[in-house]
Amino acid sequence: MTHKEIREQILHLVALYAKEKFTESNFISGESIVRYAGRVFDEKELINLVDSSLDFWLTTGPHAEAFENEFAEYLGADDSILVNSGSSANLVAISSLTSPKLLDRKLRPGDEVITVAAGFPTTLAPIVQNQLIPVFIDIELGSYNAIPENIEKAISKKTKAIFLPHTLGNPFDITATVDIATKYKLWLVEDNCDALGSKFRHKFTGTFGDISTVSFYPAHHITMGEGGSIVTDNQDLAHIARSLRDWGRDCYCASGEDNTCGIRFTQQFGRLPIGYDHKFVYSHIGYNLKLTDMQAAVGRAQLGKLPGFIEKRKENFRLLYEGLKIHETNLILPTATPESDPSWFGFIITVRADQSFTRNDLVKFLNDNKIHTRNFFSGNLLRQPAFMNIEHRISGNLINTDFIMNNTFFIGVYPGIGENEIKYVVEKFNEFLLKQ
Amino acid sequence: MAAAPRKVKAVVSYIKQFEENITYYTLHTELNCRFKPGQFLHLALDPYDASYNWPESRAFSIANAPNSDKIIEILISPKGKFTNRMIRELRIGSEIWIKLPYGTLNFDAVANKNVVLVAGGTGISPFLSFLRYLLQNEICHNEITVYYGVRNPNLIIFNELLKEFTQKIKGFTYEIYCENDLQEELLSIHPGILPVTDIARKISTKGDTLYYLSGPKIMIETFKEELVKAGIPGNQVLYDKWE
Repeated sequence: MTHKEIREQILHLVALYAKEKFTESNFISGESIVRYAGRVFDEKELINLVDSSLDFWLTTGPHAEAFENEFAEYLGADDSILVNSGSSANLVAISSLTSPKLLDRKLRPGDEVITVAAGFPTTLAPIVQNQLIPVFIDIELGSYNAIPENIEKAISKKTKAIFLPHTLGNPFDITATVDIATKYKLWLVEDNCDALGSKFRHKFTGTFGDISTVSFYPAHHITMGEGGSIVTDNQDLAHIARSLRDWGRDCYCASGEDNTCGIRFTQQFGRLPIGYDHKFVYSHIGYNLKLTDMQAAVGRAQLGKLPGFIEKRKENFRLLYEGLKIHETNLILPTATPESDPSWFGFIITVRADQSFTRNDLVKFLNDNKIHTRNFFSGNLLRQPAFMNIEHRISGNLINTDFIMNNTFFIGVYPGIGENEIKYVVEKFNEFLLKQ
Repeated sequence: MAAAPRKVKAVVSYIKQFEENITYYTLHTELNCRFKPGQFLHLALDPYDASYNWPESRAFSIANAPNSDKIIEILISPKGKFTNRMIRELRIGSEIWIKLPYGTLNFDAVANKNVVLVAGGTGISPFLSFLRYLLQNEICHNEITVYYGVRNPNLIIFNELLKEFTQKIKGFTYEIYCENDLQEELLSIHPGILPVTDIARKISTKGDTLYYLSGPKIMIETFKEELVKAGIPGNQVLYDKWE
């Protein structure tokens, strides 16, 4: 047999294996777990994974390059830069803004970045890691996003950037935020990790700011296991982000390519001699945040399914909303930002003030009934051990942030669940709430 | 700075051949391509298999403005084996691979400055990209002057476009120098080769000006030398420093 024939046979067997091993059993009320998130895949992902492993490329390679192209094309963006997680994407995005290549627009230690305390720790961490000062603003209940009035009030002479998440898939008011960023000449970074596929005025989130980030962790809209991406239309930021991802090197030749710029041995950098090989010139103190080509191969199969996944998330959200709206006197249900079309990450719920039960009572009941829940990430990040002593400024107050820390949680809308699961979830909410 | 190059399959959708086999190609690309006016691409005739390295390729300046129509235009002057192979093999419908963008020559810093563009032969390509970009986006600059040297009038292949630039781009002027023959209907042309010393002396008095050079290496070297002699700071003279 030739290696091509052997490969075909292997992939044929992989398809059979995937169907045999991973075909999901039917949902049984009270017995099956209703997860808040999960991987949704079939034989296509496994075939891509094994196929790329047979190439034995291992490091970032042709599948990663193809994914970057296909992903940027899907979003209508100029560039996508794959990294090994959404958190790494956040780190690279913020670090990119500190590059000396940006001259007088670069962020310097002590510059302020407006963000929220109601979010994920690795939205905040890169601000602190780059010696920038986070300025926290409160969020709105229902949308769980920062509101433009609070952003504008928070601006000081030191403010240089805005870094906000589209909370659990719900876009923040992008038009107003872009206007503020433009008016005050601030960088706008969109943390789009939880909002892949969401739209604002018919355009994908993650394509409005100077730079944005996406996560491909299994709980997210598509997955590569570990994985993330930076997205930008700004060629300079794309170049800097790639440099930071790839050890800080200045050269952008792909692996196995040399002197594509035509000036490999004629330039002068830093205090290096003229003509020092550009392949080994480092213009940033960088990282190695690349992922493997096998992960990217899985991502390509997932990307093909993304439009279907988005629709399923929206449908699940709609069914949950329909089922739970009778409880609006007890619960604050999620509200989509006007002019947006969210690709929801989860169904976020807040127990209203002065109820006879607590968030934890409800969450415990749901978990006892095999319905997974998650708190709204870290609550108020400033109350977390890692962040309680960081240098920061608060603009206004964080009353709602504290409120969601105590009263908010979310349940799943991911494409791995369907009508039966949602019917069961609604029944359990009814069972709990109608007793109160 | 340039964006990371993207490898893209393209189909030749239009070919126009001029004297001396100088050929203009329009390529329709599979994906949208990002580039800035002034940048170049690598073109490979052999198929690219992502599992292997990029095949033999040559670099060509892009002659059109960035667009969302998946269109790339290049102009080639066959000089060696590869470019002659292009002339022989490329037909409408031929599939090729390109990767782009490359190059540090760009027009990022031209706002509020006078711009002098000196081109020899197919070296006009990056300037066409820039001028077409200005036209497309209705951008005005203080003064833009093109000095363009060709061997004979039939090689002034963008004469219609130069006329259009004159009409539509405020402050645009050009001077064409032709080595051989002066028969040209649309444009007024000067006889002879680009008079480097005269031009350098004339253009060095234009105040806050950026000087872009594109063409044969000898032309670039000579102009650079003359401009420096005329007192122009080296950082105001821009060209692609291809090794």
